[in-house]
Amino acid sequence: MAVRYLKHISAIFIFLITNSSITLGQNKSNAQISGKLSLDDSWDSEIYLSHIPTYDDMYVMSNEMIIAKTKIDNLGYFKFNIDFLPYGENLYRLHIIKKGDTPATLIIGGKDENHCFLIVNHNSNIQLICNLYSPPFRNVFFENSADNVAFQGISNLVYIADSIAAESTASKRMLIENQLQEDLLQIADTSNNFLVSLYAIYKTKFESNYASNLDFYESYVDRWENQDNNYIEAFTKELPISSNSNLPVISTILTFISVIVVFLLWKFRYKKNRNYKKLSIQERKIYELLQQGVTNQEISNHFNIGLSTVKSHVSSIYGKLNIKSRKDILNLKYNKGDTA
Amino acid sequence: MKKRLVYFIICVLFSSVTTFGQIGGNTIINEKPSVTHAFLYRAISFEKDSKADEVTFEINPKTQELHLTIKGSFTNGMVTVELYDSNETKQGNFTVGTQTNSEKEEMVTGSITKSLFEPVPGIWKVKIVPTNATGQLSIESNIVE
Repeated sequence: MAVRYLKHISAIFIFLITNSSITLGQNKSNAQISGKLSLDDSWDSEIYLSHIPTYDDMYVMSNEMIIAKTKIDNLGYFKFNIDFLPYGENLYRLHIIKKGDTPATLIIGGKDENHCFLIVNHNSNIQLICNLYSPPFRNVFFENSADNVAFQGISNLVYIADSIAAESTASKRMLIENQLQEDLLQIADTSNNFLVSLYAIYKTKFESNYASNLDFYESYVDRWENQDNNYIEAFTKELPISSNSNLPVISTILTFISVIVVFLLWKFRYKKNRNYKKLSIQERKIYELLQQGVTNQEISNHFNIGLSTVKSHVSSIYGKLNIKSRKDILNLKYNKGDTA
Repeated sequence: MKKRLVYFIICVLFSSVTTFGQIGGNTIINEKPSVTHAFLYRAISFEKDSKADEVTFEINPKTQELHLTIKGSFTNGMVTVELYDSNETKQGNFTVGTQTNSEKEEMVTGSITKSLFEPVPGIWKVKIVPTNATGQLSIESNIVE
């Protein structure tokens, strides 16, 4: 009897353990990048994941950029757990190295091109298959990631156009490049994923054709103005006529000029006031009448003083204010407060 | 006798056709345009260097192909390499840099390979911008005319 109960209890116990482990397994994040590469013996058996902070850094390589590495098994399979990545989408680079090479090795172009790019966030579960031996990342197929399919589509578009252009005459190459520009701008305009869209923009070589597509680029920046990340910040800084980049410089120059103008005005006014303060009380009264355009005789009558005295005062006023005629007095202007 | 004469004529005809065929073949080979290769190799060493440098090479209108490989290996500092065609259009670039706060010596490597058919004629430039860089850079080109 006891044995029978014990059996029931152990069965329940096993059921509970199994159930809890399944539940825990479901709760655990399955964020990962996994894939399969087709590699020959010349390649090392490790693959590296690097964070690319801006599109200008796509072809920058340093050990600091490498954030994870993992083994590639004999059949070419690998897997990164990426639950440590930020929640926001960012650009990353996968790269492999030749045996004997340093981990921070970037090979661009040729049969040994050793990297590919992908968009990943904290919750991504991305699977990629590369079925070409040389170069290993030439044909990358992404599963369950529409954004990366679109991203890879841009890379493929550029690669195909470049390959055809590389074997074409100069005039044909120009036509191919023009068509490529149009296609890329269309992708940039229609893509709903910011990183995909911006990647297309970067591939258009916008630095050289910005002026000819000014309206497009201005509306493009307006469209993504709510984006707050390194990618858009770096892009807007690079625009030849960036709306924001020169603003601090211009405002600094204007402030500097304003300060100088205010200082000069103050100095000029101070100098005038200083001269005015040199006048005696009687001279100031005569000066005010002179400003109203009255004659020496009228001043003489007004103050009941002799005409020669008036002339003497006027001459003194001229000397103290450093002027030569009545016309100069009419041009001088002092505030009432200055007379105090 | 008549039979022998027929055999003789057939032999002469066969022999002459073979001979003409060989002459014709030789003529075709000789008519093939001659192809010349101009190889350029330049190696630059850096020792805590921060002075920007520029390597230029000329592509003339007769150039049919350009194959270019730029390789850099550095143990210290940072180096940016940019390739520009004669229209000042950037044809490729890479930057390699070591960790600024690392005490142990580390190696970083970058390379770019470019092949073009009928490249834009004129002066092409490889701009090299080192920042306290120690290492080696090599530029290898094969210009086919």
